[in-house]
Amino acid sequence: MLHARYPFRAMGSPCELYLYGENRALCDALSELAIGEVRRLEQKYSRYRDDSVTSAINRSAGDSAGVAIDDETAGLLDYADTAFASSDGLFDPTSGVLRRVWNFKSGRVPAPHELDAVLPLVGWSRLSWQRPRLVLPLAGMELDFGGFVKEYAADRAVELCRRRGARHGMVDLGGDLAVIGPHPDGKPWIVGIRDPRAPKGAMASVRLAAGGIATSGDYERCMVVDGVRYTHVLDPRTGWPVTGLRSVSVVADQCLVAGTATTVAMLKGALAGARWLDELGLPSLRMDDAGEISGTLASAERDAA
Amino acid sequence: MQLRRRVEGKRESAALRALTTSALALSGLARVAAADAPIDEVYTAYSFSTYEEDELESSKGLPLADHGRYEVTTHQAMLAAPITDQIDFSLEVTHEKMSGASPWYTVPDAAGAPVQVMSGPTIEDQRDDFLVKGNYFLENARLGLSSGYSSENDYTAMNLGFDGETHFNEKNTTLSGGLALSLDEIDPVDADLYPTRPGHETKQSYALNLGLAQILNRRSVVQSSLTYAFGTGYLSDPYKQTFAEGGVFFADERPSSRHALSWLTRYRRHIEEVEATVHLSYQFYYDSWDVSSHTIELAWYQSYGDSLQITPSIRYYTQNEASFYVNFLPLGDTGSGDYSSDYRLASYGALGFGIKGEYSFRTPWLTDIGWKLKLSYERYMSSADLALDGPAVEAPGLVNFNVFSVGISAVF
Repeated sequence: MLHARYPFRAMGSPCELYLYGENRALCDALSELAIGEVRRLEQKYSRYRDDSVTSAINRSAGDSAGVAIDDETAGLLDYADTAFASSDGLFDPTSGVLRRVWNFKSGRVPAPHELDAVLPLVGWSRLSWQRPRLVLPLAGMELDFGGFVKEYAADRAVELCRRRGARHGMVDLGGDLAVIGPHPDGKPWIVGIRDPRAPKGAMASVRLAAGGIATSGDYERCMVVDGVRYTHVLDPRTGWPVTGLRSVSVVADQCLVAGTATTVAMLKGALAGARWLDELGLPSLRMDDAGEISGTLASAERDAA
Repeated sequence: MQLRRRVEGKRESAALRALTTSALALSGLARVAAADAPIDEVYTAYSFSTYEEDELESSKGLPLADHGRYEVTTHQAMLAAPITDQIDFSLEVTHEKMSGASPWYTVPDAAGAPVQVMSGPTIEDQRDDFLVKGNYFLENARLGLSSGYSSENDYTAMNLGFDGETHFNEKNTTLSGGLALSLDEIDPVDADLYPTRPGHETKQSYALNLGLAQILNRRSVVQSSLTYAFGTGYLSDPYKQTFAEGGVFFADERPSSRHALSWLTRYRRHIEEVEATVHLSYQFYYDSWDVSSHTIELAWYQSYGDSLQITPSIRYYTQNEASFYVNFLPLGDTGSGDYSSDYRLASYGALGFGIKGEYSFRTPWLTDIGWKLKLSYERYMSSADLALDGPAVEAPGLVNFNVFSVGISAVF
């Protein structure tokens, strides 16, 4: 069986697709399908394109008639609703407006009055979602699918490959991974987890034969002001960057669920985040502010070593 | 480093279950095909099959006569494609070639037992059949409309069908219904040569169907449906006649209407441990001609990996004769009233054995196409002995046959 690797760039990240197939042409055809699907979702939910669903939704903010939602987006909104409810309101796709005051390139921490101005626009519970209509009642409210569409895209790419008969392979969208199936000999994929303080090195490796893994870290976008690190993961309740965890990786049946779990754990912080992941029952790997590594994946790695 | 060991494998919290379910419900992520969407790929298929009846046993036919029976070869092609994201469409074309002899009437032998007289190997006919069907998908329902046209030398039929289904109870329950009608015209050949054959006749058939399917759990589904059918017009067979002792022939004469009720229940269960699915079905049928029947079928769909599926099946059928079935009429009968010596209206039982193989593959070229090769064989045997409540005298025309079929389909 032939092994093919397709590097590409999408959703602001370096991505890779690994496939096994009977021959090159089969692999190429599959890769076009899978990468095409990722690009379709990138365009559909881009914040930067006027013709995207995200832009259409955000343009409707303040209009009490709202906007009609297609089936796929409706599924994503239903998912966001479930995630919001399961995370005590921490998973919140409306928190994107906080970016208006947090500019991580500026090296400046926003003033309290600046935050006070945008916080009223944050809150999933403020919007109304009743299939097929979505209403963002306040002008200036925004919805951002960026927190989960990459993970969804990984799951979709895998699903399409599987439907076309692929049984061995993996897709990696900037560190969010979903597995089509193990190597042809049945061996799992070995996934390196980036060290948040040395992002070119790995702090651990995880064996993955099925499902997906997602990682969220404070190193992705951040700034250091007066020796304090401010990460892009913002708490929807306070508008402030989270502290406590440098990085969280979670394994789940779907990359989408894994991604939600990492986001919520980052928001909950070291102790509450760890407890929440344990309650979910999902294998995880965490590094806290002190550089301490914990989680079932860490111990599994030690056991295997 | 903290070392925490915990078995977390099977523990699943309510929150995780909610997230997973919601993620699976996202379009396309669910592994089960969504029911309320048109097909999303173009499907084409071609199959060729032969139906061959065994020769009539010599003891059941006239001495020295040719005992060969009927055979049919069938070519069938199909195309199904999505039109919009709410509509799909399919077209099916069938071409059949029939030849051979068929049971004509039965006469008593020297001992009074019925003997089958065949029509002689004179039948040469072909049939062309076209069927178009469209489906329209709503949020939680499907509506279908179909129309067909079938033409033979001596027979044309036009039919129209309307069906639909809707889901509720989180798609665990499906309610379906359908209405169908067929308008047929019969112009028997050689009507001028045989006084028992009519010149031109018509018949109309209507059917109403109501069904309910319930997903019991992740592995099993049960489905039950009730069909009422009504036929009116010329329901007899122009190529059959009834012999009356003394040497008189009468035309096949059946009532001019027929009400029929059938109830079908199917159960399907997937057995994960052995990668197989078992299908069990039972059908009860009763009509106003007093024909009643029971059919039980068991099929075992065995998968071998992702590409091969082998399905053995067995079917048992038993039927009670129509109130007007006779092998032949007694001496002096004037031919008033209804009677038929068509073996299909007699009391009998039947056993069918089938085996079907399906192989899915892809080629290095045309990589977008998913191919499927299908091969099947069925053996069917009928006799009075197999009937639950067998008659004293067996209809001599009861048939045994083989069906071979080979087909290929492509999805792209």
